Amino acid sequence: MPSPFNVAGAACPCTSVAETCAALIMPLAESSLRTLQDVRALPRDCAARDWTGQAADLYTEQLAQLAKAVPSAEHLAERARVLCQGNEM
Amino acid sequence: MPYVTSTITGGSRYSVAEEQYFYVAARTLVDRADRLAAAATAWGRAQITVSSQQSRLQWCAAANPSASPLPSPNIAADASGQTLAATAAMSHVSLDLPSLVSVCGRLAADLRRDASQLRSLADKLIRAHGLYADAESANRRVITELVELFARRHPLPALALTGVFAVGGLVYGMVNEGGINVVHALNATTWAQEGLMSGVGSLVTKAPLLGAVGTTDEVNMGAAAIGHVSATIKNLWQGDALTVRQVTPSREVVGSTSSISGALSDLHSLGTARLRGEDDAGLEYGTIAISQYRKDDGTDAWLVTIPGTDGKRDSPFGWEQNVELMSASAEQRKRADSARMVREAMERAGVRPGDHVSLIGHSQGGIVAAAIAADAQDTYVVDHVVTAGSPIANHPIPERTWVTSIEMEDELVAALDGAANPAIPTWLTVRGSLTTSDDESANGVEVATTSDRYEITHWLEYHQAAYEDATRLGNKGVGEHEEHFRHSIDGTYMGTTYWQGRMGGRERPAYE
Repeated sequence: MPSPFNVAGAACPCTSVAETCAALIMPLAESSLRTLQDVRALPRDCAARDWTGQAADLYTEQLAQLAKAVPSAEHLAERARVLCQGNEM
Repeated sequence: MPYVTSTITGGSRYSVAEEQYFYVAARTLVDRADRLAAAATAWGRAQITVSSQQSRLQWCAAANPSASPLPSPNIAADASGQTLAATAAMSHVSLDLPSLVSVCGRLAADLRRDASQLRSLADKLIRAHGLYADAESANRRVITELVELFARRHPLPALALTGVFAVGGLVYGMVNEGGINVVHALNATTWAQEGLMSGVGSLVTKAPLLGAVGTTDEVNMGAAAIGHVSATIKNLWQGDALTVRQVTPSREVVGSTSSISGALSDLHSLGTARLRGEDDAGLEYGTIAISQYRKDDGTDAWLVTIPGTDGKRDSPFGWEQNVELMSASAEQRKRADSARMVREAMERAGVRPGDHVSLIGHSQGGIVAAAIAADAQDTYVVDHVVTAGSPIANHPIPERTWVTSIEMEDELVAALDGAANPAIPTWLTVRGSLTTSDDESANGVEVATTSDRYEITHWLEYHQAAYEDATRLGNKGVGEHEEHFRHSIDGTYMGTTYWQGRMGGRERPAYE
């Protein structure tokens, strides 16, 4: 399958660089987004059920904080996906 | 600064459903942490790869619009033989590689941090609910039995092997601290201590080789055999006449309390602080405290606070008394000077037969507490015993008495019983492990010590930190033991009396 960057007979190194980056980043971003989706569900999946006290409160709080940090990481993964695609000129 | 994290065995169990839920939650957290860590590593590698691609763009005319079309004399053509001039007419892809490198780096750092936090949370969940504690206990038991068998069958090679580990620990300590610290040697043999002690016990009693498997009281049997001789020597050295007198400190050392951590704090003031010269209350060695609480129904409950070995020439809390207290024989335990002293002090403080009594002790003080709980049930109603750094696994304490034991992983003294404590609802053991502040997963409690070196963890400050960590974890069993202790001494605080014991002369007092 021809690559969008691979213009037959006129391959600048930048197209090869773009291909390398895309091949590396795209699947990595995909798998990271899936993992982050699972992390986002942790406060529900691993709630401190029937566990009370200082440690339980801290646990719940830290799990919620981790889930809250997910969108920021997701944004970075999306940004990496966009950046590695580049723009054809 | 040293930190202590705790694991908990014994105490009441969760229901199967509850336990299963926590297992699944812990496994889920560990799985997510592993996946995040793997992703962080991958993003870190991607950052390096993308960064290395930047150099290839120097041959792209579009990426270097202001550059000379002629190649620099220092730069050869790229691998495909292209030059900057040759690429000018080609089609290009605009890539913001610096931004991509930065994003990869940020993701690597953020995901690594999140993975570490998740691992820490999983660790907290596992420790709080004693998950895997049974498996760890079983593994420990197997190691202990194997070491014991080896030590029983091949005592000299076992000794030599232990020496090798000890020397290895010493060398490790020298590399890390730049000086000799024997505590590292002790730490390196932690895994074998209970087995070795059991091996020594079965050697002393000449127990049959395979008879040692499955039994846990070899040390106590050995102590019974040694105790006959050691007590005789001790009596020649120290005398066997015990004098107990009431003493008055210049300020309150042991006060009203309603929690185990409060009682531990008082025990520290009475014992460790004095031993370390930090006490200004005027109390001397060999002193115990007896606190009285009056319940609503008019009956009394008592809390006896017993410090550990001081090793003074005329103290009932000498070194030899430990052997007698560890004996498998109740009569021998009762004859130990420290046990005699505590029982005489209790009687003189007004503790009557049938009264409710709780005892807390550090080291030898804890063994005395366990011995009284085992041997004076027909005199007192012993409700609760708290021990810190005391080898009491084999003391026959009836199940009606609740036992809360605190031990440190590498303190040796708590391993002198050669066995793990029973893990039953009324006997809970908090086992502390030392960690350091630069350990990312450290969730423990800082030890209130002024030492900047790795020191022996038998000091009470370490047990206090271990118990504090266990309390913070919110373990169900710890909560129940705390509540039972509070209930045992629930009442109006009537005051505390202090009793000092001294040895001397050739007279056999009561309780023989």
